[in-house]
Order: sequence, then structure tokens, then C-alpha cells
Amino acid sequence: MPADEVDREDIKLQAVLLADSFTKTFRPASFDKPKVLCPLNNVAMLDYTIEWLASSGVEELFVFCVQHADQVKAYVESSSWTTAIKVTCVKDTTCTNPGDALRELDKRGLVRSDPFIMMSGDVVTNVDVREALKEHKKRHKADSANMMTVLMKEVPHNSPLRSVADDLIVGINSNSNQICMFESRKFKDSNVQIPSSFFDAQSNICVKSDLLDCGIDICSPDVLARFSDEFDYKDIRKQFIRNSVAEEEEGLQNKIFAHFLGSTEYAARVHDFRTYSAISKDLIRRWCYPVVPDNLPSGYERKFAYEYSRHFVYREVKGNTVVARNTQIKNGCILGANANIEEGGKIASSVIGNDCYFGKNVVIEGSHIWSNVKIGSNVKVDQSIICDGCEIKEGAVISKGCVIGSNCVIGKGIVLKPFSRITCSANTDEGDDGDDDWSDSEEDEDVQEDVGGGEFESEVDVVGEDGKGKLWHPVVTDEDGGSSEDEEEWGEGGGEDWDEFVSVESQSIGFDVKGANARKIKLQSGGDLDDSGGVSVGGGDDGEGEGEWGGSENDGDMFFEEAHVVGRQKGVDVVKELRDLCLEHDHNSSFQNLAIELNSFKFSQNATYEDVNCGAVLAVAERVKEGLGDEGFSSVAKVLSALKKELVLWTELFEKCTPRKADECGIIVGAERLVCLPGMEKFRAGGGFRFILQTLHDEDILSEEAIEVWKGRRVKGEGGKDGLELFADQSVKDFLEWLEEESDESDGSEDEEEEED
Amino acid sequence: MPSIYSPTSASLRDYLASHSHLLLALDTFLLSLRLGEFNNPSYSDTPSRPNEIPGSPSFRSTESGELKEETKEGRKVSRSALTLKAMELVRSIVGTTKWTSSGELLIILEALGRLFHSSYAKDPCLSNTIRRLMNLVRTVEEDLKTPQPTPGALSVNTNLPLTTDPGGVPSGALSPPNIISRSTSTPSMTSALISQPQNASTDLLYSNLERFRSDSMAESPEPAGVPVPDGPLNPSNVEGIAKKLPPYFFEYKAEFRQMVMEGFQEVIDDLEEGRREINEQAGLHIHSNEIILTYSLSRTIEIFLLHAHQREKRQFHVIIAEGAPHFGGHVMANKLSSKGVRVTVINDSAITALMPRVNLVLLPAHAILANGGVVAPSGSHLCALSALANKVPTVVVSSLTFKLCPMYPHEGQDIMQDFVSPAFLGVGSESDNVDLICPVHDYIPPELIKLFITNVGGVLPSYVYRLLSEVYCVEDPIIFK
Amino acid sequence: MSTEEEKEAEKARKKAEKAKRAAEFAAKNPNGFTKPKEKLSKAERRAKQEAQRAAKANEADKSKSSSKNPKNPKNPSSNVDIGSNNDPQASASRQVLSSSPQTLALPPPILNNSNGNSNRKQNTPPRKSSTSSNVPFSQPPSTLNAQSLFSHLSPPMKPPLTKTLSPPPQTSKSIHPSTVTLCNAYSRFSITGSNSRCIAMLECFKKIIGDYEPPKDKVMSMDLTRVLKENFKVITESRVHSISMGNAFTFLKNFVTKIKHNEETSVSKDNLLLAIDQFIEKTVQFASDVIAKEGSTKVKNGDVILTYGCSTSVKKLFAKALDQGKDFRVIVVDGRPELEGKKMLGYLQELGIHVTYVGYNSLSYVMKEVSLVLYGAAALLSNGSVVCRVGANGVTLVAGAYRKPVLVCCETYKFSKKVQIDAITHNELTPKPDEFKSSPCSDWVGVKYDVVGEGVAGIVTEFGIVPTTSVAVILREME
Repeated sequence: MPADEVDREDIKLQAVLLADSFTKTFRPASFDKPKVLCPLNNVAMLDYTIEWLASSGVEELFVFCVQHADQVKAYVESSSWTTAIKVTCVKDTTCTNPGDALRELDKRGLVRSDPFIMMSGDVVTNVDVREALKEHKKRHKADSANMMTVLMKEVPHNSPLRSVADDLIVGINSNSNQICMFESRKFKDSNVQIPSSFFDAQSNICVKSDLLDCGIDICSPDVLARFSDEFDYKDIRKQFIRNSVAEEEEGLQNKIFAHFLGSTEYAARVHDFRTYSAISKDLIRRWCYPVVPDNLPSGYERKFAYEYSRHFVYREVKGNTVVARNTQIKNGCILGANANIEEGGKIASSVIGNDCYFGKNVVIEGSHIWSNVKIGSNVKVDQSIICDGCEIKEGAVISKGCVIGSNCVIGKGIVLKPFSRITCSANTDEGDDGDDDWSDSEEDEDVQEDVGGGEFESEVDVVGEDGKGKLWHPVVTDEDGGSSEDEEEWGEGGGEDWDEFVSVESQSIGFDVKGANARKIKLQSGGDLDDSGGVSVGGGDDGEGEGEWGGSENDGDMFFEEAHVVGRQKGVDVVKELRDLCLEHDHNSSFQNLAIELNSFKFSQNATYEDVNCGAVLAVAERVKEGLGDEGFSSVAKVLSALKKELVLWTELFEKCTPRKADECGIIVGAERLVCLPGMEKFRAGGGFRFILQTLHDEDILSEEAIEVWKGRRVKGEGGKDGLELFADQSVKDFLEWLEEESDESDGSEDEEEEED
Repeated sequence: MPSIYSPTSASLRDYLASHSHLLLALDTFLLSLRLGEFNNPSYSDTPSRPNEIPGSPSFRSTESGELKEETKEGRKVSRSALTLKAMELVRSIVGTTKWTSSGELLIILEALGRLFHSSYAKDPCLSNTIRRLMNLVRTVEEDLKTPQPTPGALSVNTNLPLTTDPGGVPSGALSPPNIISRSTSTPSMTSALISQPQNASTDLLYSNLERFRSDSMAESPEPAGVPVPDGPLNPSNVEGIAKKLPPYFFEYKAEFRQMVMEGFQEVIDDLEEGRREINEQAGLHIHSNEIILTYSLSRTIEIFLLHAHQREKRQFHVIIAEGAPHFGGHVMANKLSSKGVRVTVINDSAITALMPRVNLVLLPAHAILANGGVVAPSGSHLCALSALANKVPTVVVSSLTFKLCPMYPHEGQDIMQDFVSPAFLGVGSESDNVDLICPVHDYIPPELIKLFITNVGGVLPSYVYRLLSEVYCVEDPIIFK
Repeated sequence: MSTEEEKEAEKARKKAEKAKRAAEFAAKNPNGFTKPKEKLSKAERRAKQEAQRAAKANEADKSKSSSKNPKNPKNPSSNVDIGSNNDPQASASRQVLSSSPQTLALPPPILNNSNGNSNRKQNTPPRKSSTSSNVPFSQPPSTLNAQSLFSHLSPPMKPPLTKTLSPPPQTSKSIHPSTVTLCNAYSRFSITGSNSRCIAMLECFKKIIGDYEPPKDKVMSMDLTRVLKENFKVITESRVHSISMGNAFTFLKNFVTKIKHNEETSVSKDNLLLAIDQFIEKTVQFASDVIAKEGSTKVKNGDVILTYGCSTSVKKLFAKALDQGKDFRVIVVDGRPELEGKKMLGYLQELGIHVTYVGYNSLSYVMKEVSLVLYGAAALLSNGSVVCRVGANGVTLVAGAYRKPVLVCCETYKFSKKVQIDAITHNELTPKPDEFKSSPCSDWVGVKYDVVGEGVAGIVTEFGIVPTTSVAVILREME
């Protein structure tokens, strides 16, 4: 690979490491220690990443630190990892999000290598990134718009490696691996949207929900520039990537590609304590070979070394770890240096840090005990994390999912409730508004000082008389993986049904992911908890939904929110989208294009022709409304005549969109919605609906069959409140009766005619 | 000018501080051991990292042709390539730094040994290299000590393990006792543990070397006349094995450095021509129309067979067990059959079914242990077993040069075992209730092995321990910890 | 060079060869055994191309001929059958005529377990003569090759797409459609495992019998036997049948021959169907239940049980032991190409047993932990050797090396009078696996079965746990 060599000669390979995930998911552990310095299997996460970068040939690394910047800096300078990589700390405590970080980097103009690797400090991986680098270079040479390559691994959708919030759906051009959709699914809504133009541009898009975003990107420096341009971008994934790939206009596009990991390659990101534990397990079970406990990163050879013995048990060999004979060590454990474990203990699939002391008969399962922890006799710890320097007095029980911040003391015989998080840093209480991280990072810093000073109230009822520490309650809204923009989404998206997916539980060990996913899927597939009424994918024929929809129609912006609050349902905004599509259409151009557009959208949304028609009718109404203005719109006659004119124009479209007669029901439904709109009361009272039906029928837009079908549904009681009310309306009844007679006659008459012929 | 007092990684780093490029080279090498191409157990399926390591000029310059060839195929780098690289590194360090006495040099070597061990304990050939070099240093020192150094002595000693007559005993170094039975091993082990705490490792049995210790000590008594040197270093102020060195190890001798470097060169040469010596025996062991079964992938066996086929014009048929999950066998098969050897590939599960038709089993070795047992690719134990069951001879083809380890397998311990990612099994793991294991090695006990074909000729398993005394010095640690 | 081997080689040269193999040899030859070089000279390369072209040609006419060749003896009869659609008289008589060549054309010895050897003797000649014509002249004399190792076995079955689309040429109207479907299932290995294969076959026969109408003026027992035989023959052509199937078929034949002449057709049909159902119920399914019960008594608390393959009775055994509240874990060793262990893994996971899943190469590593080895057999031969999934022999060997007891589960209906001492004399070849097709030049052999001669502590049968040596006795008892 001489070409490679040349490249390396002229510019060294650089990397950017974001030592701050700009989230609070690692609290309370992260109060007095930056997340990246937290030990994963007794090795600071930062060391995994730096070691990996070095081994991938990175020669210069910029560690960008915000919270606890000093600590990170100190650590980087003190630690003596390999001279093969030059590590520089870039400190800027004013950054509140990755976006700012990148802008700052761009300002300082440190990053010169093209491409450079960008990753967050909490990733563990064994990927051989050189292939990806080569590909990226080739692409970037070909087109400077190909500025980013995202590393992705195929992982089952309900894998423990995903944060529960992660509901990523990626659209990929299977020929070029170009990403053309990068949507994190909105809650209660399984619909994601691909701009239909992509289907014209790219023939072969495959949409996958089984891809895990590894948090490792290969970027060209232009990416930084882009961030400087788009000064409001906060998050790399949820905003930059998502919007870039969604950009339809040629030229403006920053093309982003995916690189898929090989079957034996591993990469995962520590989002929260649950993923932390899952990854720890994977390392112990050697899924990330050669990144395994008995192959420590450089520099550790001075501190300690592990030896593997059967059933995934790793014992420290340098120090003197003492384990009583009759203590069981089972099923994937790490025993740190100088650990001292008395008789009768049971330790299963847990990680024990250095210099720990365990009394007699302790039972520890699926837990992570950091360093210098003292655990008294008969203590039971289940799927919890106990940070540095804690003490658990004898007989205490730490139930599943707990996190105990450093230097806390849990009193004698205390029983902690599941998922409780204890801290003893004079707490940065969550008063600070969510998306302003740096202010509380400040607080964190001065917290550090007065940790140990301990002039704060221990909650005796929680940790006991002889305990130290208090419960820490997070603010739900910023308990997700990401940026504030995300919070907005959640603020709306998350009804109380959704709390579990954003709660502390979901981010703690022992949380039942499978169950949660099942529930989530149920919710997303329309089955709302309060009315799990059969909301079909299209949702077009769901009267109730429409009612709500109509209710908020008068104000386009309000639309989403209200819909959210009452619980958005499938298809609702599909119809709206369809309507908007129709509205954009101008009369001069043929309906052909519109039809195509509608169709592709319909497919991308798995909508039905009914929705299309429904949308179309509403669009028509909208047009009329514009034509007449509100007051004019109230008079039945005017509306009808105008409507008639307009409808006639649209006949062509309706024909295109009604392969089956039944699809015409959509038109009626549309009409229903129309008359149910606020401001249409008079119109409705005046039997407007009937007349619309009439018109539609007269204009042969609406066939008897369709009406029959519709009638059938309403008789069955489908169609929700408004729908049925309308149906019950006398005028409508009359119309239907008339229709029947008339149809009979017409049949008759036709017959006669035939006879005549 | 810094001198090194203790064989710890820290002090070595301080020692190398002034030579940044050496430190860089060292670190890059360690990295490539830990995560790089030397730690990639899979063969053709996943390409190993490019061999060229950035920012290490020393490597760019000193890259052996073989190394390149190995990695171009994007598969595991061969042991010899690895060893060669290590040798180059050590030589560049020893060659450029300013150590004064053999004692200091030994400390440096031990430090390197420890570093290698901590970075990649799995592979014995590195510590073996170091141990070998340390032995070289000692012999050179011994030669210099004796009034007029016999020029022959040096070459004899360094050559010894490679000469095709292993009977030859080095001039002064170690006079071996008669055959030592395993029975005597236990007591001597205990004494070893007492005298050499850093050797106290559960999975090792330390036997006959211990015996030699007394002899060799007797061989080199501290000459009364020699004064304790007033140099920067002397036995009292150093750590590690150097502590046990007689004082004259710390005297400066003008010609020493040059002689040692020569010795190094010879060792490297040995490594490179080791295979040639093996191949020369091909004709002796493969007769025509044989059906030979071999397991997975081994470069040594590959060229051994090719030699028999091309030079010796032997007609034979090779059955290759594919060696799942890495399928080295497929690679091997293509390499051989592309050279015209008749090859048949089989599933590992079919080994026993076909064994009755086979009349020779060739196995590669990852390491050869003191008791004549072998650490080989996982799955090859079965080959040896079914060969025995069918009275088919099992022959291990391997160069002793760096695979010969002075350690004994301990009952019930998995020696030199490593486990790669279970992803190779192609089964996802959802629940904790399922363990997925993918071991890399098997231990083949000596009683299953008929013969070793080595670069020192055909050797019986029961004779292996004897060779140890000629390659290594008993003073040196068995594993660097 | 031993004469015996030379004979092998001789056979190899003469024996019918699949054209692909021919191509390989033709291709391999020029640079093969004449002084090989690192890279071919122009001349050699040309030679190679020539050879390949020749091979291709070969393949072409081979494929033409092959469709008929193997069935040569039977062709006349079947053709006529098709011709004379509804004339039972004629067809029957011709049947009688053609019956003798039919038996000749029976697939290799492993097929009919009684006096296999004699059969093989008369079998081989026709096959030789039929195809020896298209052995490539380029093939050097007396060279060893993969085929020569197994020249005596019928080449691996290819998935007979042709068969699916159009019924096999020799299909007389007495071949039932369900037979054809079954054939495809077999030849695609979508039905594997001796039990399930046997049951599938019986089910198929039930359909046949159900639809069977004895031609008037014809003895049902004889005619039906004929029909069944024909179907069975087609089945065995799709894939060499297992001993379980063989035994089941003999059972069926015997039953059919016992049909009384005067009996109502419907009655005797019902009896037949009933008999088959009972066979499936008692001899196959009930037996494995009993085995599960018997075997589970050998499972102690804290046991570590190693199993290989995915035998139904072993599965049942685990379930049973679990029901009895025993606490044990299982190590599933899996071997290519079947990788049946994955099925076993899935099953055990559902049961909630702690499983360790390893590849075949890890056998020696895990064996240390094991306290009992358990697997199922495809058949038991009267000399006490166990026929089972290829690889089981290796498992037994390693178990022996670590002094671990080995139990084999086998229903007695799989016992056979046949004797065999190694896996080479009789076996079934497997086609070249797809993932291996990529590597062009080297040659491939795969076999289906292993023959475990020794190292088996006991056989778990529905009659209890017996030593392998007592198979012969049990066979006699069963008569």
C-alpha cells in the first residue's frame, strides 16, 4: 500500500475524542469523576479508546474535555501510555454540546489530517478502522461532499447494547452504503419519513432498524467547517447527520456513508449504567477480543495483570488477592488487585475493583464494585454499581439497579429500594434547566471540593443513622441520550406511558429491556394504552383520530403539540402531509406528477389510497377556503359551488388514486373531516355534508359502491364520534335513501335504454 | 548517561528516554502485540492490520521480505515473522544504547522480556527470544572471563541448538547430568520457587533446569581474585536476576559489545534458515503415494510438503482438516494445490472417519514444552488421538529455535491457552445462560507424538528437555513477570 | 505401495467419475505431477485450458447421458408403463419381466442391510460399464485422489431440481406425487435425522396406501408390494436411505405380504394404515420416551453432560432429567457441516438449562469439565459398532482420553444385522459445501456417518442400558 504510506508521510493521522457525552446519564457517579475516567472492568474507559486509536495508527489525538476538564487533563498528563500517540487536551468548559465542541475545534484549527477520526470517549471497540479509512479517502477524493463515514454494527434491535431511547432507523443505499435516512423514531409513532426524492435519486434503498451507531466517525475537516456554518447544530447525530442526509437539494448535500463492522468486530458505547454493565459482560466474555481483561492497555502492566481461568473468571496476579476457599466465584468475574474476600461469599458475574474488602457470606451478583470498597458481612448486592471508597455496613441489602456514588456509606441492615441512586456530593440539585450543562458542570466542580467536607444533610431514613449520602433524583426530561433538541421531542412525545423509557430505571442495570421494547412497539404500532382501538396503519378510517385531528386543525403549528398531548396516532400526520403535498401542487402542472409524489409518499409511510384521497379532499377544501375567505366559507351555497368547481379540476387525481372503488371512501372521510372542522358548524348545520356527498356523486367522483362501503362501516359503528354523528344526521340519511331509489331507477332506466338500443 | 538498575518497564523507559525513536519503536511494537497484527488469530476471513506501523522508521527500514509476504495475504503473521521483528527491535535497542557491562545488558533484556510478557503473555516465542539472547550474553561473558577467549567458543555456543548434532555439549556452559526422570522434579521445583520467587507460577513445573543450576554454579565459581567493580552497577545495587550475577559481569570489556552484536546477528540468521534445515529432512519422512493428514494452517508444514513435492519429487496426497472456525485449512489447501500438490479438504468432524486411510499425520506446534508435549492449534489433539487409535504416526514439524519453552504443563491447567471472540461460532448470545467459548490451542501430551522434525533433526519427545539446557541458561527466569 | 491400495487406484481410474472431478484432474494434471513450477509456462497454461475445455465437453455429454445411465436397466419397463396408460395387465406382466434388473439396479449396499456384500458385487459392474466411457484420458494412471478413497460409494446426491420440475424419467404411474415431494425434502436435507426421516417416509407410504386401488384381477399383497418397492426405490435414489428407513420398510413389506386374498380391500388398507401408525407410535416415539426415562436415571446433580448433534431421544432425555428436578449443565459440541448443535442449543435454551456451546475444535478443551457424554445413533450394527453422525467418533475418542463415560441413545428398531468396522467401507458422501466452492483448485470429501467401534460404555435402548456387544443378542430376541 505505497499510496497509503505517502498519505501518512505528508500528514499524520489525527483523531478527536470527545471526553464528555454532554449527558447526565452517568450520575451520580459522574458528579465527582468524569464519565470517561470511570473504570470499566477496572480500566478507565478513556484508556480503551486511546489504546485503540493508537493501535489504529492515530499519531495525534485531541481530547476535548468540558466537565471535570482539569481531572481529565491531569489524568492524560500523568498516565504514561505508549509514546506511539501524542495526546493533547483541549479544554473548554463553555461548551454545552458536541456542536459547540466541534466549532471550538474548528476555531482553533488544530485538526488538519484528512480524514480524521472522531469518537466519543466512552466507546469500546476492536474495529480495524484502516479499511474504513481507505474507503473514506477514496470517496472523498471522488467527491468532496462525501465528508463523513459512520461506523455501524448490526445488532438485534432489542440488544442490551442499545440505550432504550435508541430507536434508530437508518436508510442505506445498498449499492454505495450512502446513508439517506438517519431518524431516531419518535415515540408513539412508528412512521419515519424518507424524502420521496430519494427514491428518484437512488434506486436501491434499504431501511434497517438493526444498526447500532458505534459513535466512531471518520470525518474530513469540512465537517468541522459545516458545524461552524450551522451554528445552531448541537448534536452530531440527531441534528448534523440527520439533517445532512435528509437534505434533498443536490449541492447542499453533505453525503454521509456507513461502514459496517465485520462479524468478529465489536464496538459499543457506554450510554448509561445498563449499557455499561452489558459492555463489561461482553468484554469479560471476550466478544471484543483482543480487548479483554487479561490483555490490559499499555501502562497497566505496572499496576496489575489478570490471569484467565475457566468460566470467564479473571484473577489479579501481581498483588495479593485473597479469596477464602469456600467462596464461590462463578460465571464471569473479575477480581481486582489486593481484594480480600472472606468465607462463604457467593460472587457471580461481577467485577470487583482493587483493594476491596468483603466480609463473610456476602452475595454479589451482576454488580460492579469499584476500588476501595468495604463491604461488611452478610451484605447482598444485586445488579448494582458501587463507586470508589464506599462502605456497605453489614447486613445491608442493595437491591437491583442501584448506583451508590463514591464515598457513600450505607448503614447497618439498611435495605435500599431498587433503582435508587445515592450520592454524598453536596448535590448539584437539578434546579438547573436541562440543556444548560455547563452551569452545573461548574457546580460539579465546586462540589468536588466539598465532597468529604460533607457539610450536607445525609438522608438518614435512606442510608441509616450510621450512613452517609442521600437519594439523587434526576429530572426526567434530560434523562435521555442526548441534546436539548431531543428533549423537545420527548417533552411532547412522552406521555406518562413513555416515562419508563426515559426514566432512571431504563438506564440502570436489571431493567427489563425486552419487556420494555415489547411495550414500546405496542405503543408505537398505534395501540395507545388508553384506547388500543384498532388504529390501522393508514389510520384514515379512524373517526376519533380524525376528530382530534380536526380539533387542532385551525392552527397548523399547534397541530403537533395537541396531537401529541392527546396521543398522536398512526396515519394522522400522514394525511396532513398528503394534504400539504396536494396544496403545494399548482394547477398548470399535470396531476400525473402529483399522483406520483403522493404515491411514493404513501409507500414510504405505508399509507392507504384512502388517506391520499382524504388528504386531497382536504386540500381542495383548503383551496376553496383561500378562495372565499372565512366568512364566505360559512355559507353553504357558495362553498358548494366553489367546491364543485375545484373538485371537477381534481377529478383526474381522484381517478388516479382510486384503483378500487372502496378507496373512494377516503373522499367521504375527507369530507367528514372537512365539515367537522371548527368554523364549519354553520355549514354542517346546513346539511353541508349531505350536499358535498351529493356533489361528489353527481360529478361521478364518488361511486355508489364507495358510498355503500362507507355506509357499511358507519353502520358497523366504525368511524368514531364525529363520523357517526354525521352519519346519524337526518339529511345524510335522506340522501342515502334517495340514492338507493335513484340507483334502482337508474338501473331500471339503463335497462330500458338498453332495450331501446 | 543513564544506566538501568532494575528490569521494570518504568526504569527501562527512563533508560530509553534519551532515544525517543527507540521508545516509539518499542511502544508501537507492544501495541501491535496487544491489539495489532500479531494478535489476530483469524486467517483469511478477516484481514489482519497492515504490517507497516506508522511512525516507526526503524521498522520501515528493517522489514524482512517474509514479513511482507505473510501479511500481504491478510492473514495471521507467522511466529517467525513476529520473532524476527522482536529481534530487530532488541538489536536496535542493544545496538544504540550506552550500556557498559554484560550485567547491565542482562537487566535491559530482562526488562524487555517482562514488557513483552505483559503485552502478550500468550506467545512464548518472545520470552524465548529474550531468554536465548540472555544466554548468549552469559556465554560471551564466560568466554571473555576465561583468559584467552577461544574464537570458536562463541559460534559453537550460539550455533548449538541449530547444529544437526544435538549431542555436542557447549564448551564451558553447562555440563548436563544423565537423564532426569519426572519423579525427581517435584522437590527441585520447590527449591526453585524458593530461590527464584519471580518464577513462582502455578502453571509451571520447574524441573531439570533447577538441577543444572547447581552444576552451572559449580561451573562458574566466583574467582577469588576478581575485585567487586566500582562501576555504576554491581550486584548489590541492582534488581532482578542480575542480583545473582558474579561481580565480573559488571566490568567493562572493550570487545564485549562487538562480540555480542555478532552473536545477535548469528541468532537472527539461525532463525531465517531454520526452515531450510527442516526441509532437508522432508525426503527422509515422506515416501511416495502416501496419504498425509494435516490440520489447519502452518507455514512450516506448507513449505515442508512443497519441498518434498518439488525437490524430492515425491507423489503423495494431502488431506487437510479445514480447522474451523478459522478455516486455515482452506488457505493451506489453496496454497498447496496451486503448487500442484494433490489436496483434499475435509471437515474436522471427518478426521476420525478418514484416519484409517491415512498413514502419516503432520501437526504444527505453537510451542514445544519441556516434557515433549506440544501446544498446537485447537482441534489437533483429536488428530493425534485418532492417529494413535489407528496406529498412524503423529509427527510434529516445527523449528525448535523459538518454540522450545523451558516449562512443564501442570495437571489440570490450561497452558498458554487463549480465547478469541465467540463471534467466530456464528451464534448470537442473548441470555447469560449460554457460554460461548472459542479456544485457540490444544495441549498434545508427549505420548501421542511419535517424532519431532526440527531444525536440529529428528527428536524424540523424551529428548526435548535435554535440548533446553543447550539453548537457555538456568539462571534466567522461565517466565518474565 | 500395498497392492490393496493399487487396486483402489485401479478402480478409481475405471470407475464412473462426476464430470466436475474430471475437470479438476484434467486441469490439475499438466502442472500437477509433471515437474511443477511456481507459475505455468505458456504451453502449460494452454494445455490447462485445453484440458478444461475438454472437461466441459465431457460434462455436457455426461449430463446428457447421466440422466439415463443409472436407470438403464429399468428404462424399458417404465417407458412402456407410461405408454400403456390404463392397461394393468400389460404393465404388470412387464413389471414381472423387468423386476430382475430392478433388483440389480438397487443403490449401494448400505441400502439393504441384509447380505449387503453380495449385492455390492453384482452392483458395481453395471455402474462401471455405464460411465467408464467418459473418464478423461488425461487422468494419470494409479494416482490417489479423494474419489479413490471412496470410489466404492455412490457420489454425493445433488439437489435434483430436474426431479422437482418434471417427474423422474423412470417414474411409472405407480410413483405417488407425495413420494416426489418427499424425495426433494430428503435430497435437500430439509428432513434429516434417522427418526424424522423414517417417520416422514412412513407418512408418505400412508398416503400411497390411502390412494391405492388394487387393479382388478390382481393380488393386492403382491401388487401393493410392487408399488411400495418402486416408490421406495425412487426415495432411495433421492438420498441413500437410513437403516431406520430400511427396517421400517422391511416391516411394512412383511405386513403387506401377510394380507389375505379374500379380505376386503378397504379393510386391509385400514389394517395397514393402523399398523403403520402403531409402528410410528410404539417403535419410534414411545421407544424414545422410554429411552429418555432410562437415560435420565444416569444424570446426577451437578453433572456436566456433553452432547453432539441433535438427537430426538437425547433432547427428550434432557427434558426428562429436568422434570426430575436434576441440576446439571450441558455442553453442546457442534460440528460442521450439519451444525445441528445450533438446534440443540436453541432447544436447551428454551428448557432453561445452562448451556456451553463450542465448536468441534474445542472438544479437548471442554472435555476436562465433562462428567458424561451422550449422543444419539443412526443405527447399531450387530458387531456392536455404532453408526452415527460424523464426528461422534472423535467425541468418543477424546472422551476416552479423559476417561469419561459415553452413553449412546438408540431405539431398537435401528438395530441392524449388518456389520461394519470402519466408516469408509460403507458411508454416504456429502456434496461440496457452498462456502468451500470459492476455493477452486483443491478437492473436497465429506461423509455423513461415523462408525464408533469402541469407547461406548453403553447403549440406552427402550429395553434398558446394554453394552454394545449385546446388540446381536437383542436382534435375535426381536425375531
